[in-house]
Order: sequence, then structure tokens, then C-alpha cells
Amino acid sequence: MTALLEVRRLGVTARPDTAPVTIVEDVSFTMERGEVLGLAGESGSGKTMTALALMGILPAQSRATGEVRFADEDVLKLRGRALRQIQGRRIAMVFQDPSSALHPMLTIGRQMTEHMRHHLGIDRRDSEQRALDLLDQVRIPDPKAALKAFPHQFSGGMRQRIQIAIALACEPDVLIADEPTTALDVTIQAGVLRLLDGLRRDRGLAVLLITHDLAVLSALADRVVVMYAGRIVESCAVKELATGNRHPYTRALLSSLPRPDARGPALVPIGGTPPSPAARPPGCAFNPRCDFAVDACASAVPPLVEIGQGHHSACPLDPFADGGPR
Amino acid sequence: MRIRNVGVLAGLLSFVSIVAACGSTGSSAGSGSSGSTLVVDSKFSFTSKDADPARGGVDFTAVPLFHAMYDTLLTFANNDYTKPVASLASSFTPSADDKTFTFKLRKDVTFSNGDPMTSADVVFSFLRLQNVKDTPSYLMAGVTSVTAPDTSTVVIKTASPDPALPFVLTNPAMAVTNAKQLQAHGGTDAQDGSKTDSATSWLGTASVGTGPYVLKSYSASAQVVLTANPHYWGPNKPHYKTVVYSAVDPDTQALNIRRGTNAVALDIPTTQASGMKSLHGLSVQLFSSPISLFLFMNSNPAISSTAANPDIQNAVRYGLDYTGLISLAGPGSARAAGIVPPGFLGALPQSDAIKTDLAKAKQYVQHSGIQNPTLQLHYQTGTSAIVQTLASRIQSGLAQVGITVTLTPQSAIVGLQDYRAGKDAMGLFNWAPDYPDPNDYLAFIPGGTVGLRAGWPASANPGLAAQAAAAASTTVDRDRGAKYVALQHELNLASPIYPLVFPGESIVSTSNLSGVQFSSVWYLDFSQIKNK
Amino acid sequence: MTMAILSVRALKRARTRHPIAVFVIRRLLALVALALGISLVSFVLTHLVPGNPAVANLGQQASNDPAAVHAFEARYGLDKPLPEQYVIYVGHLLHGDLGVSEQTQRPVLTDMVSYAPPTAELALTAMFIAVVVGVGLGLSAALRHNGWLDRTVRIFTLVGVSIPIFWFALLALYIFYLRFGILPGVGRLAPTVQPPPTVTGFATIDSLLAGQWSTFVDAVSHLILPAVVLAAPVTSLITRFARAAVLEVLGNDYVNAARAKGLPTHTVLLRHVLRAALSSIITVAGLALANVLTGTVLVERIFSWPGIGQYAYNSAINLDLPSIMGATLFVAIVYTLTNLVVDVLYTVIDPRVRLA
Repeated sequence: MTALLEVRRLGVTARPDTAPVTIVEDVSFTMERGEVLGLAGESGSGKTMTALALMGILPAQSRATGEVRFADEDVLKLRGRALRQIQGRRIAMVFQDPSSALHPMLTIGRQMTEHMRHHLGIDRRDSEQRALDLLDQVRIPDPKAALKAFPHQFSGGMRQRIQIAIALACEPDVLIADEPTTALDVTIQAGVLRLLDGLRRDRGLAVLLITHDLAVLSALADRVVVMYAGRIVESCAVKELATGNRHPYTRALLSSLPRPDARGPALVPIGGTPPSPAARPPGCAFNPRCDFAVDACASAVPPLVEIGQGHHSACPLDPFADGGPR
Repeated sequence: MRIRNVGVLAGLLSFVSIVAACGSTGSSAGSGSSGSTLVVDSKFSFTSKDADPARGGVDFTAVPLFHAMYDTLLTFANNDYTKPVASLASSFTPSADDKTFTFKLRKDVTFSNGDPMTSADVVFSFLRLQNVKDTPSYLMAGVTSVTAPDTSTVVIKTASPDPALPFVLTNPAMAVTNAKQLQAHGGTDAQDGSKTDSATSWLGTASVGTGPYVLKSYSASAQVVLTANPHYWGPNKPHYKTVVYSAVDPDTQALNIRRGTNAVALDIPTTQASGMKSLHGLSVQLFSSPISLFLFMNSNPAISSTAANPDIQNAVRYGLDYTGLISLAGPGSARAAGIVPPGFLGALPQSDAIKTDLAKAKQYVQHSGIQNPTLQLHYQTGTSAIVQTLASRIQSGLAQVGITVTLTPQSAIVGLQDYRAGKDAMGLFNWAPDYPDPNDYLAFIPGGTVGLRAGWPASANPGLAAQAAAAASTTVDRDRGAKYVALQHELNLASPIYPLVFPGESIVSTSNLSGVQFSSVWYLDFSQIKNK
Repeated sequence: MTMAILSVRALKRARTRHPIAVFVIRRLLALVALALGISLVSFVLTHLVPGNPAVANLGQQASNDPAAVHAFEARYGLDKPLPEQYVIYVGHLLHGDLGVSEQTQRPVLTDMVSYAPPTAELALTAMFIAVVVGVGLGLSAALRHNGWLDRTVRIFTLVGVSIPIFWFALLALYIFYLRFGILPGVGRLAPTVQPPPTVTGFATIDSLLAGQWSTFVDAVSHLILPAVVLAAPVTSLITRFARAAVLEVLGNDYVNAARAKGLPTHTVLLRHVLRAALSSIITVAGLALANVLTGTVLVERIFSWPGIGQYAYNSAINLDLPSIMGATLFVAIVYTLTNLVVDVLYTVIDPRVRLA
């Protein structure tokens, strides 16, 4: 069976003609229908750029390489109308910051219906009826009034749910959700996650869940891809994440997070800061911050190798193999 | 299409639409194309005040219009401004004492609406001019009565002998207007005319004269359109059906005339105009303006003891670099040998002008006993570019004889006030003739208008004042001329007012025109212009 | 008492129901007060100028004649004490009487009615060009941030704001009129063209109303050069602001969100990007209109355009006090109304803005 979405050796380069800077490099993964794939990593690791590349909406000065196979097409090669028939219609996206992802001067109704009418060819009344259903589905009180209202009249959580409703309006196959819960408080977070979980079950929606919050991932995702400095450093099933992780960065990321059970070891922030795309260190980009780095780490980029069933890691050292400081 | 391409397209489109608009209208470029229209560019700004001869009158930019729309009792012929000749009046007789003037009117003259002109119209026009008490009303200053013994005779009486009256009558402000029409539109010749006359704004919509052209329309400060007067009485019928008198900035006149046909430009700076002589299809006339530029020093010691010092005054008289000033004033300029312009009765020949003598000037400075004499020179900015240049040259020239001049330029409005109140220690100003007669230059004698502005009352030089009064009331023209020549010789030697230059002016016309001729009274006579 | 309470209630009710209407009415009332204030300031200023209107208006001979000076001063009320002159002026002003121009001998209001439309026609055309070209270029430049077009536009805007308008006008006349003859010279219509009957005072509209097609073409062709010259500096201004505003908008996720919806490019640009940049553009357009009105003084002179700019200039050099006051009031009211329109537009464009 072919995957719903297959990303092959995706790379993103900023200003390729003048001062090229590699932002994303050699990223490959697949998504199946109904699957939730987590994409984890610190800010600046290239998660969002990967998402924009999949959507075909990279900034004007960036260029993508590689392939994004979807519905027998390479999304990266599509232009114009052919691309737009996928954007919003079959792959939709929820943006990170609900305060800036909705147009402040257009009514919710317009923002909910404009792409429905464009893609689905339905008239105003039908699209509004559908928008009402969607708003109801994401639990916006008084959907009728909401259609006439402007974004600033809603709380952050409601705006995020409205965004999700907009993204779902054309019943896409893939939903890319960039930090969909970061701006929300815990109870609303749970609601949004439940909503996504329900959609994946009911509609077979595939969700690319981008987050730096591994707790959210473990709650929802089937598999996890961990990115660092524009590359995948580890990918595995979510149940292996906590116990079977191999890459020092994955471990560092896990230790830096608060655990819901609060019984684990104390939080350990990752020392240093992630390198900027223009000044990535040679070899393994994590080596300057890595507790286990050896000289060889700085000489060549370690390849992502399969180390178990569906488990890949880009660290050849396996520092935890001897049951070390786990 | 990528997002950014559409943006570029939007930008391009907006440009293309403008360029397309440019291209589509190419055919209508150029001015004054048809043979029946004459286009004259002037720097004037026309207001309805300028359409009322009794109020506008004397502005050089408006006189060609008055001259085209209105006739006067007397006029000049063949560019001879020393002898008024018949116009609406077929003859005139001064009394022996030059106090009573009897005019016989032509009987075949009609106004532009067909009404015949009678003596009543003349009386009304002159009395109205006198009583509205506006800018040109001074022309009626010495007149005690204007009467009409019969329909074709007008008698004007003056308080004192006034041999200049016939000259005054040639002024475009002395226009003869249709009394009936004016009265119907608020015009009055009553004594309280300054309060009750209200015809001026209507005169901005119609003319009521006997001239070759009538006012058709004016669009405020942009252009005046005249059309041929169908009832014109004169022998030479107007050549053009329409004359357009356009207000055009001097800088753009030079562009206009090069694309024009049947076109005349009145205000192109002379240096530029003399450069246009080589251009095909244009004819350029350079001439000196009758508007004199003069320098004065205030003889009132209360204003400045330095300026009032006779030795310093003489030092300036001989220290000025006259030759340098003339060349700075540009092509067409003429040295002002005396204060009366060339071509007028009593004008001095160039050879009679005061000559620069630096040694003499330095002696005068030494003799004055004033250490480092310093003078403030006042002049108006914005009136004419050459005034600033001349002021700087006066400054550098007088520095050579040891007199320091500081320049005090002032705006036209502010500058005039102090000058007219006689408060300037030293000034560079101009004088436009009100009528082409030397009597107008009595302003420059001790106690005259300009004399007083220079702190020079009649009591300062009673001899000169008496000599001037004698010249003014002399009745026989030849003697008047001689007396004015003698008077100006004296003034050149003794006056604290120094005539400098009659600045150059230009008239540029397309060379298919003939009869484009400068006049120091009406500037340009549209009715003389014809296609060759 | 009851009346007052009633009206307060009515006001409150109106405020909640028609906030914009109430806002506009309040601002218009304030405008009346402002106009009085402006009239006082300009009255005092013009009378403080150390010049004498009689001297400025009467010639070299008449200003020496006490009778003529007295007649002039009596005619324009200049012989009364200054405070009394002002009270009389305001009294007439409240009846819509701006006095009689010393220059034109017509009521100043009549002058305004004949001089304002040419200026409005010129200024609105210039504003139209400036906004269309400025927004087009600003948008293009922002979308091509740091690309060749952006760099070219930056040079263009720098030249546009620093080029002397006088020089630019003559250069434009030289090239398009004298050299190639594709556009006419100065004036509103060719000298041989009969002006259309005045309805609106706009030569273009009036000629269309009169069905005179060739006159319309002539009027439009005469309008192009002065309007472009007048528009040049403000086009640069608007381009720069539009570029900055669009760049700022492009940094927002809602633009990405619109693109991610698969909407057609023009919908994204017009409905989403430009809409968001519109309040900045309207702010600068309001400023630009002020610049354009200032520019008309020079441009109208060079292009022999019979508008308020020339009228104000001629009034000023002749110390024609009633006309100066009239022109000042006119310009002040235009500025204030522009501000009002801009404020109202803000609320129409951006639902987050509340009228205060």
C-alpha cells in the first residue's frame, strides 16, 4: 500500500541565488491515512519550514528541493491552479499563533466560507450553513453570531478552534497542525487534542502534529519524528519515545520537559542554544551541546540509520546501550 | 502564477494605463493653431479689477487688453510718443493758458453693442474714473470739470496749466465707456462713486468700449479671450477673430512659443530670448523697458547721517559702475542717461549720462570725513531677478571707493511700505511711467513723490523745484523738451536719486506674424498684428 | 430640564446604534469651532504682516493720495480698530459671507466656487495617480523584497521625494510638450477650445456632460502633465509607506493562512494583504493630500492652472486680506474634513478601531 503522503529528502534553502542558507535538509517521512505523526524539536529546528514546504507556501526567497508525493503528484513541482487544488482542499494547515493566523479585518464567516466557495463550488447559503456546523463541531457558542464577528472578539482558545474549523472546512486528507495547543491553557488543550483525535478516527484524517511538547505528542501521535537543526535525528513509534530513545538530543528534549506524572527526575534544561541555520557546526549539529560527543562527531554528518523496527536514529554512538544514565 | 508576479503586473499595469493615456491624446498638442486665433502669453494674473479701466488701469500686464477693448480720445501714432494725435476726438484745442481743453468728437464711432458714442459717454467715463478713487484715479488729479456743451464736444478744465493733459488722455485708463450700459450694471459717476459704484465685477464678463476687440470671456487668472468687435468704427478691421491672452509663467512661455503658431510671448527673460534668435520660425525683439531702475540715498539726516552727507552722495554718484550695471542687466538694457525714458519728450541722449570717476569718488569719501561709511541698501525681492544682481554689483562697486553697503532685501509688500514712507537710507526701486510725458517725472524733483521718499523736500533745493515747476507748465512743446533736458542735467549733478538703467525686455513671436511692436504706453497693440 | 435629560438619553441611544453618525456629527460641530479659531489666528497673522493693503493694492501714484487710500480703507473696513474688524468679519462669516476680494472685486465665496473645482480636479487626479501607482509599486516591491524591482523602486522613490517640483515640471514640459509634442502645454484647455458650460467646474466632467468629446480629450490631455508632476513626490511617499505596510502584513500568519487555503493569488493580494495594509495606506494618503494641496501653489503657477493655489498666491502678494482669509479657511476645512474621512475610514476598514 502506498502512503498517503510521502516526503523524500526534502530540503529548504533560503536565498538560494544570493546568500544561500540551508534551513531544512534531507527530511524524509511518510504518513498514512488516519495517522498522527508528531514532528518534535526546539524552535528553529526547521519544523515550521518543513510544514510550509509541504503546503507549497514557502516565503518568496526560499526554495524547496526533494519530493513531496501526494495523490500521485509532487507537490513541490506544482504551480498555480494545480497547486491551489491541493492547498486548503486536500492538505490544510492550522497555524501556530491564533492571534495572527486569522485576518483581523475580515469576519469569521468570510474567512470560513471563502475557500469553501472557491474549492467546493457551493453558494453563500450552503457554505454558511456548513460553517455553522463546523463552528458547532469545534464548540463555538452561538455560531450564528460568530459568523458575523471579527477575530478580536474571541479568546485565544476559540480562535484556535475557529482556525481548525477553517482548516477542516473542505474536508482535507491531511491536516498540518503547527503547535496547535501551545497558546492554550490545559483544559482547552485537552479539548483540541480530543477533537483532532476524533477526526482522525471518524474521517481517517492524517495529522502532522508539530510541537516541541513531547507530552502532547505522547497523548495523540502514533509516531514521532524529532528534528534538530534542520535534520531528522530520530524517528520512532511514540510508545518507544520515552523508553527506547537512542539519540542524545531526544533524551535531552525529554528531560527538559515537565512530565504530567511529575515523578521522574528533575527538569534538566538543554545546555547552550540551538545553532542558527547560517552557522551550523560541521558534523553532527548537536555535537557542541552533546554530553557524549567524541571527536568523530564533528567530522561528518551521521546518517539516519534504521536501528529497529520503524526506529531510526542519526547517532551512531548509542550512548545508552550499556544501560547508562537513562 | 506566483504571488509576486501578480504584484509586478499590478505595478506595470498602472504605468501602462498612464502611458496609454498619454499616447491617445497626442493630436491636440500645441497652442494657437488656427489662422483666425492669435495667442499671446503674458505673466499677467487677470482679475475683474483689471477689466475695469477705472480701477485696473495702469498695470503693464493688463494695458494691452484695455488698449484692445477701449479707445481713448487721443493716441500716439507710428511709435512717436512726443505728440498725441486724434483718435475718438477728431481734434482738440488747448486754451492759451493750457487750463481749458476742448475736444471735438468723431460722429461715426459706435460702441461694441452698436450704440453711437456721444460726449455724455466721455463725461461719464472720466468722472467715474475720478470718483471711484482707485488706482488710476490720480490721472484726473488736476481736473476741475468735464462738461459736454453738445453731443460731440467735451470740455476739460484744470486747476493749473496742464500741458501734459493730452498725454494723460492716451492712457488706457482714460478709456471711453458706454455710459448707458455701465449705469445699467451698477456703474456711477457720482461723487460718492468710491462707495456706490459696483460695475467692476460685471466688467469682468463684458467690455463696453469702442476698441477693435471685445471681451468674450476670462477664466480666472488663466486666460482672457477677446473676439473681433463687429461694430468697430476704425479703418483697420481686426485681423483675428479671436485673441487669447494667456497667463503663462515666464519659464513656460519659452516652451510655448517654440511649439506655437500665431503666437507671441511677452515675458521671456532677455538672455534666453537673445539665445532664441537663432531658432527657426521665431522672431525676437529686444528693447529697453520704460520702467526705470534707480538708486536713491536719503537726504534726511534723521534716517541716516551717512546717506544724507552730500559728499557721500557725490561719492556714490561717481563711484557707481554704470557700464558694469548695464551689462549685468542683460541684452536690450539701456543706460538711463536721465530719469525720462528714451522716446519721451525731453529725454537725454546717452552721452549726457554721468560717467564713473573712481578718483573723484574717493576724494569725496575722504572729504566727507566719515570713517568707513556704511549704508544699508533696501530693495524688493521677487519683483525682478536683476534687482538682486544689480544690488550685489552696487555693493562690490562702492566697496572700491571705500563705502560699505549692506544688502537688505525685503518682500515686495513689506519693502514698499518703508520706501513710500521715506524710511529707507538707501534704496533700489523702479518707476513705471503713468503716461508718456516728462511731467510724470516731476516725482523726482525735490518735494516730488520720489523726492520725498528720498528725504528730499522742496525746501532742500528751492531753485531746482522752481525750475521744474516752470518746465511743467511750459506750454509750447519744443521749449518744454529743452527745459526738461536742462532740468535733468541739474538733477544728474545734484539729486540724491541716481537713474541707473532701463532694463531689457523681450517680445518673441512666431515669424509668420507682422506688426508685433512694443509700445511704451499699451505694450502691444493686438490690432496691428497680422499674418504675413 | 426634561429636554436636556431627554436629549442626553437620545444621544446615548444614538451613540450605541449609530456610532459613526454621532461621531461625524460631533466632529462637524467641532469643525465649526475650529473654523472660528482658524479665522482668528489667520486674521491676526495677516494683519500682523508689516505691510499695508492699501499700499499693496493701489499703484505708486494712488497710494500717495490720501483720498484714494481713505476710500480703499473705508471700502474694506480697514479704518476700524482691529478687534472690531474681526467681530464684523466673524459676523459676516456666520452668514456665509467671506467678504469681497480686493483683487477680483467679487465675493470671496464666489471666487472660491470658481477657483476650487480646477484645484480639486487637479488634486484628485494627482491623488488617484499617486495611490494607484504608489500602492501598485509598493505592493510589487514588498512582494519582491530586496529583489531588483524593490531596489529600482527604492531609487525611484528617493528621486521622487528629492526632485524639485519646479524643475521636474519644466523637464516634463520640455520632453512631452516641446520635444515630442505628445502632450499639450500649459492651461486647462487649448486656447482655441471653447470651454464647456460650467456645471461641476471640472473641465473633464463638464465636457462629458455637454457631450463634447473632443473637449473632454483636450481637458484630459491637459490634466496629465500637471497631475503627474504634482503626484510624483506623494507617489514616492505612498510607495514607501505601502511597501513597508505590505512587508509588515506579509510577516503575519494570516497571509500564509490565506495562501494555504488555496485561494487565487489576486484574492490573497487584494482581499487579505491589501485590506490589512489599507489603514496605513489611508493614513499616508491623508498626509499626501495635504502635500498635494501645498504643491498646487507651485504647479498651478507653472501650468497656468486657475485654482486655489494661484488664487492664494496672488492674494498673498497683494495683501488681499479677505481672499487670504478665505483661502486659509478653505484649506483648513479641507484638511479637517480629510482627517475626519480618514478617521471614519479606519473604523470601516478595521473593526478593532473604536470611535472615541
